[in-house]
Amino acid sequence: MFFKIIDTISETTGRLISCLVIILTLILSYEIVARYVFGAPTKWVFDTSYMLGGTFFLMGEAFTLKRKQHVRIDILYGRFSKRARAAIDVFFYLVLFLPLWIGILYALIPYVAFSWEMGEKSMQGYWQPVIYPFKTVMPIGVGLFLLQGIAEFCRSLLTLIKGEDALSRAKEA
Amino acid sequence: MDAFMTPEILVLLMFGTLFAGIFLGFPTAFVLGGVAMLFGFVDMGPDIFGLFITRLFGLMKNYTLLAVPLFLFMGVFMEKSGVAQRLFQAMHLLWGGMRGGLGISTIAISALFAAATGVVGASEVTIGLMALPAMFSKSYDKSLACGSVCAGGTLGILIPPSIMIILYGPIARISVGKLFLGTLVPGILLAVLYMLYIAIRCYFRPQDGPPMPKEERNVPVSGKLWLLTTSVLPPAMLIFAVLGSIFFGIAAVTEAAAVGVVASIILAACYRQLTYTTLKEACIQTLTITSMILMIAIGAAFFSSVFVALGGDDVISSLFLNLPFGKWGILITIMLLLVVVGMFIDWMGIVFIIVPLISPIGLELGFDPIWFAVMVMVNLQISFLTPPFAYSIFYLKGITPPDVKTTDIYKGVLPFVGLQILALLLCAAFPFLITWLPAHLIN
Repeated sequence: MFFKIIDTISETTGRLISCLVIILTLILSYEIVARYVFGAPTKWVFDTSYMLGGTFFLMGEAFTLKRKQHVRIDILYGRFSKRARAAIDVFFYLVLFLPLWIGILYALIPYVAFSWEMGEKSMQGYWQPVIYPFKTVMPIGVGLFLLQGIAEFCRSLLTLIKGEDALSRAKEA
Repeated sequence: MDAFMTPEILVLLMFGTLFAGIFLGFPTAFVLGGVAMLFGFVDMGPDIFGLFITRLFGLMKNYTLLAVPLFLFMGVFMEKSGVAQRLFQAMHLLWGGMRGGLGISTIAISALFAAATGVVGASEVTIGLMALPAMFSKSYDKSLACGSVCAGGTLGILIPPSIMIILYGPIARISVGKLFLGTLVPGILLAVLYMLYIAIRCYFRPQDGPPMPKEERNVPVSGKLWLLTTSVLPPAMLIFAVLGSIFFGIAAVTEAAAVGVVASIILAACYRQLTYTTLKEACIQTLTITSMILMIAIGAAFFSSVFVALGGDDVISSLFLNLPFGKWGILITIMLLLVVVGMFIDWMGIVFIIVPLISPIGLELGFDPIWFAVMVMVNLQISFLTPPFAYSIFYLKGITPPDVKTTDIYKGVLPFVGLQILALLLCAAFPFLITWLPAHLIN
């Protein structure tokens, strides 16, 4: 049940977010048309495009993790038993993954709150829009990613403790 | 940090933990970030997370990196448009009469496709699915057939536009447009070497790649012309629109990528392959590959900021610069090291972990930065073909019939690895192959 909710969240956000690449294509194409056909380059495309792109990949991390698309070097991993693989995953999630992303999420909250208080603006282009909504994507994206990471960790833990069939039995129950 | 923790020991420990994690099979991206956290935390305490947030945000607002999802998106449409099938038919008719003609066609399409996509996997699989059965049914030598599909597919990541170049540019602080120009000639050189090899081998050993019988080639000239026009012209125009607008300074790489997406969608629509499902699948495929690559970029950014803060980069560069081999000896050492590392980890690992360390060494030795970068990227072609961890072989195994043995594939890629080394030597002997275009075409 717990896994299923997290999986659904990741799956849904991923499917929604994936459409951003179409919008990104459209606004960048519009910029070229505006520059060469209308002779009037836009102010807003530059900032909007990197905001879309940053949101696209960060919000997609949880989805990518759920679909097991993060690349592993499986020269050895592929030869291990399921249980040994679960043991490796449990260990590294615990030592490397969870502390890193919990720490980042923890530090992100005051970082983004500060940006909101300041009403911080972007200093990159001419348009200089407010940047705090874009910065808010960070805790959301990292939070979802961490949540999916916790689900994967628990799954591996279950496999490790109860053996290979634990998951399929849990699904049936 | 404790006094006995010299930078040298730290470098060893950091790399030791990194490679232990990677080879035990935990995702590369997570190992990179996690190891950075462990060592950074010991050095700086919780402040390390503030540093990581800055690096993360830097990647999120990087305009050049937007070209990654866009070129991936374009590649998916190219793959689904069915243009590869038409190209194969056309090339088949064009070269079929020659000994080894099918193999030559495979390389030619791979090179064309490489100029319209930015990665290896999809194009290699698309081309292999047509070329392998065709070659096997004409009783081609199995190894030769496998080798040409692998080597041809690998060109996808070298011939611009290429995801590898887009990632390499910011890491080595070189313009992506100039790197596109720099890899163009070496990429074509490789394709030509492959075709020559197949032609010469099959000329002397026709049993390896027999020509197509006359009756199958008996298509009227008008039919041939029509097929060539409808298959070669559309992707050629797309390639020209994308690369041309970059090379002539009309559009930034990111914008050119967007143009490429629009063009490839039109192409797919013209070939009647554009459906709602295709579009949705294309978006999702683009998302997962982009997020996967960017997570490695994030992990590597964390890793390198900690590594530099602990003085690791100085240790590595003085280690190499103090080698008693002279400038070219050190270059050869780096190149050999890349070949060895490339057997075990993928190109992303090398670009994100090794390139930040060797780029300053190349500069220090006085090599032209564009030349050095392109040499490294040509070298990375080898890593796709050298087991145990070789992407191109991995993709090929997914599509070969069971009677093709792994040893057939290994035997097949071997001559192509030789040709890649030959191309590297040629680029070293005649550096203008790399440097002329970037020096003369854009500023």
